[in-house]
Amino acid sequence: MEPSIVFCRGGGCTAKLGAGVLSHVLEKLPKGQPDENLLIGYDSRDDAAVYKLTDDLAVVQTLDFFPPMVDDPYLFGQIAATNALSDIYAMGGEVKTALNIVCFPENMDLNILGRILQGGSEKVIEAGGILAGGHSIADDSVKYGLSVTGIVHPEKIYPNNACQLGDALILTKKLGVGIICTAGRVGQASPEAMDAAIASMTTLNKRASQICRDFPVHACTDVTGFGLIGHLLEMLDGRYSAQIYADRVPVFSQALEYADEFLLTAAAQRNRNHAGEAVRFENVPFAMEEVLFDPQTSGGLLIALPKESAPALEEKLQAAGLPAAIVGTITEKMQEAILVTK
Amino acid sequence: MIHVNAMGDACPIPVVKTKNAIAQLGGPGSVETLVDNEIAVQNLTKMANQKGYAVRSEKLEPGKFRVVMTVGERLKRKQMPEKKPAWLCRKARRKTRWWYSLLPPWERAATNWVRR
Repeated sequence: MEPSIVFCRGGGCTAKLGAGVLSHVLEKLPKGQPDENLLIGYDSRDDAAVYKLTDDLAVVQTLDFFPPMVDDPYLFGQIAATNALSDIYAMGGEVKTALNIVCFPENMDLNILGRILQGGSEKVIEAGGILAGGHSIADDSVKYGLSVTGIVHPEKIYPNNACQLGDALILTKKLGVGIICTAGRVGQASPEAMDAAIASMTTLNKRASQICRDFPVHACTDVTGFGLIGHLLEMLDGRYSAQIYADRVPVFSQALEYADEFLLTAAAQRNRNHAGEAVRFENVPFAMEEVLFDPQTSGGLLIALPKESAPALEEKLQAAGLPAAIVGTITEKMQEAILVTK
Repeated sequence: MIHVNAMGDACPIPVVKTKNAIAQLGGPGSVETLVDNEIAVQNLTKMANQKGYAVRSEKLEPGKFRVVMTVGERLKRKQMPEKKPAWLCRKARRKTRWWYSLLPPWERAATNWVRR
């Protein structure tokens, strides 16, 4: 019989600490000597750190790990790895090496750990990287993820906060996997919904990132634990506002149904609290509001690029089999940072 | 009142338990849910607001919150009042008069909505 994890208590990116909590802590950390080779650090709350080595080469470093969000250990390994690798792609980089991060109860069946690690390593190989080691500790509950190192040309980095006025916003994957996994946890998600969510969570952002290289992308981030709203707020960085067209956002229809049944996570509410007055909704149904705050595990890329180039990029992403869509625009600063309309 | 203990439960379990309790009520009534964090209080309050239930919450002690939801009666369609005796209804009284049959049709029709 296939080994399965006995429980999953709100895993994936729903387990993230709230954005506000992190900011309080991070701003008090000592910065050390300023180093001009640190191209991207945690000041901009970006997806990964980027450090310049030579004029042509910069190293990209990221790390992600979390508790399970599905019961099957192999799929959990795949999803966790996809999520960790996604940050490299969000910076415009190429995956090179990965290290496992494992927390596992001493008394649990080691076959489960084996299946998790197998899922993770197969995903790293698919991304073109090498699994080069890792670290594990005994813990009360299962957690898994990767520390990933990649490379990028210093002038071809996609920062997350360099969008420009008038840019179009493209999202490359459907929203709602957090809600679907939550519904699955309480036995109220259909098998079709779970399969669709898992397929989305195990799709690397590699192809999307490669396609973007042919376009004048200004900013890029991957949509994960802070939901579309949270990551868009990071992208705007207080410099601009944005308008999102709710009807154009790609969403799993089952996620809207489950949101109407209030199968919502604590993390989504934390995201809503953090956004607060910065977001205003006009004629947007409650379920859609919740999906926009829904923490995504291994979500798609949110790309800001000149609006003239957006239709061509959207078409190329769709031709590659991705459910990409133009979802909004960057506007002049308004009273609210994000306006969501129908 | 139905009491739901969701202490130690991660979202959405407090909401699911509360929904089940409301279904058990089968009509008007109250459900009290105990949770151990503010986020669960907010999620429960959100549900109540969307469903149109009255809701109030309070912190009982650190790490313990109480949320009480009151499910009201469904709004009934305006019901017809009980039938009054004809002699009480002003228009209906016309029908009992000896001259009623002498009224032209349009006047008789005006009498047809008898009950007030």
